Formats: sequence, structure tokens, C-alpha cells
Amino acid sequence: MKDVKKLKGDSERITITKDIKELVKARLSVLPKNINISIGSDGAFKRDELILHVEEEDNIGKKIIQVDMEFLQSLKRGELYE
Amino acid sequence: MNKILLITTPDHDITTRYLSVWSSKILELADKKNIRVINLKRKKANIKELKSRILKIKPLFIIFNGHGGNDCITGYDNKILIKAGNNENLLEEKIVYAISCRSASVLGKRSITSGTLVYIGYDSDFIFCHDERKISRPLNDKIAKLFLEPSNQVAVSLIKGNDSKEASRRSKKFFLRNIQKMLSSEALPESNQYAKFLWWDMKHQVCLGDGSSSF
Repeated sequence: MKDVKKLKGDSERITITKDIKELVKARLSVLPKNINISIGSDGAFKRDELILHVEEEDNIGKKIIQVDMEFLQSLKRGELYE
Repeated sequence: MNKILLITTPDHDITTRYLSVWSSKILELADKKNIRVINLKRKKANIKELKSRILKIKPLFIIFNGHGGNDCITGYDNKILIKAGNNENLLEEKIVYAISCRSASVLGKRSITSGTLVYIGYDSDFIFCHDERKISRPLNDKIAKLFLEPSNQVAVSLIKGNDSKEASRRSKKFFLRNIQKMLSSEALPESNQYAKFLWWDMKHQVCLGDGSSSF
């Protein structure tokens, strides 16, 4: 499969497809422009910066993809309403 | 061991500024409870000051605000304060809460082996959102509050006399409550994004060592 990379997550291995990247970018795009996201020692990022990182699939981008995918899996498993 | 709290508030970038300012809530509570506090602010959040205060004053509870890595906690200007294999013995017989990304994964475990009573921290990045319009007034930042109030709950619970396991449980419960608010039908469209980062922090908070230890 083209543009497929694997991310090691806690539960399932996450395969980064183009669709997943677009999903994560779309989800990030609803954040207001005035919101910054502090990611530990990596720094503080604006929405559009994170979208670029996701597109680039660099360390920060992969981190954001992992957060999103594991969160969605957790929602699917109903873990947040136990 | 003395009922003394030592806290680092490095305040050298946006992240540490938010952590440091929001720590004032913890310090207010400690003051009400007549707990002696040693606050290593800004440049004083360095290894020399830390070591000196720990050895002379012997605080029981230490809160590290700052960045970090798998095997270290940093202070002002990201200079290392505690590093696994180097000086984790400074944390012997102490209760530690470290909001230092990933430090629980290696340093936390090593410090428990070296005699730290409890190490509450995060085994991955601590992520939080904040409103850039509130940078000069972080305590008025309702978005940051979603994250930093649950984080503070660890220290708040310990100061109120709960044991470490309960303190972590209460913090995670607070995170979960905020997640559920963000996922409710009344939440704003962007709230789902806050929820995922809250969930990440909740999931990666760990309580290592003797959970029955209390301050």
C-alpha cells in the first residue's frame, strides 16, 4: 500500500495511511487559531503548525497521529464512559 | 521526615510559565495548611540549589514543574536536575510529583529502586492546550484550566492528607470528568480536541512505588 507507515501504539499498531493523516488534520482544523498546544519539551504549537507536522509525518506529527488514533480507539471501546 | 514541600517553578518558556503560575494554587493551599514551602523559582530551579535544600531541609514532598525526558527532570533553562544513574538517590524517602514529560518511564522506576517512596509522573509527554490571548494571565485561561486543575489535584490531594494512590486516582477522575464534559452534546466543536489530549495525560499518569505513602 502506498504511503503506509506503522506507528507503535500501546494497544494496536497504527498504520499511517493518507486517509488517517487527512482525518487527523481535519480534526485539528476545528481548533481556534488562538489555541496553542504544549507538547512537553517539544514546545508550544499553533493549530496550523501541527497540521504541517502531521503532513510531514515527523516526530511531532507522528505523536499527534498516535494521540488521535489511540483516543478514537478508546472511544470505540467505550472506555471513557466506564 | 519533615512535612515540608519543595517545588520548582522554572518559568523560562510558555509551558513552564503556565505550570509555574498554576502551581500558585497548590502553594495557597499549602499555606492554609501551615505547610512550609521551599519554592525554587526561575533561576533557582538549578541542581546546586535543589541538592542543597534537599540535603539541609529534607522535604518530604517534592513537586517538579519543568521539562524532562525518559531519564531526567530539568529545571530552569532545561538544565538537568535529576538524572537516572546519576543522582536519583536525592529522591530517597520522598514523595515526588513530576510534571516532566516521560520522566516516569525510566527515572521514575530507577528512583523507586533507589528508595523513593512514591513517584507520580507521566510516562509520555504531558500535553496541554492554552489560549495565547491569556499568556499574560495564565490563571484566567479556561482552556489551560481543563488540564492544569486535574494535574494539580495530585498535590492538592496529598496536601489534604490522602495517600499517593488516592491522589493519583483523584487526579485521573478529574481528568475524566473534564473529558466527559468535552464530549458532551453541549460542548463546542473544538472540545473533542481538548478531550483527546486530556485523555492522553490521564492515561499516561502513573503512580510508582508505595501507594499508601502520604504527606
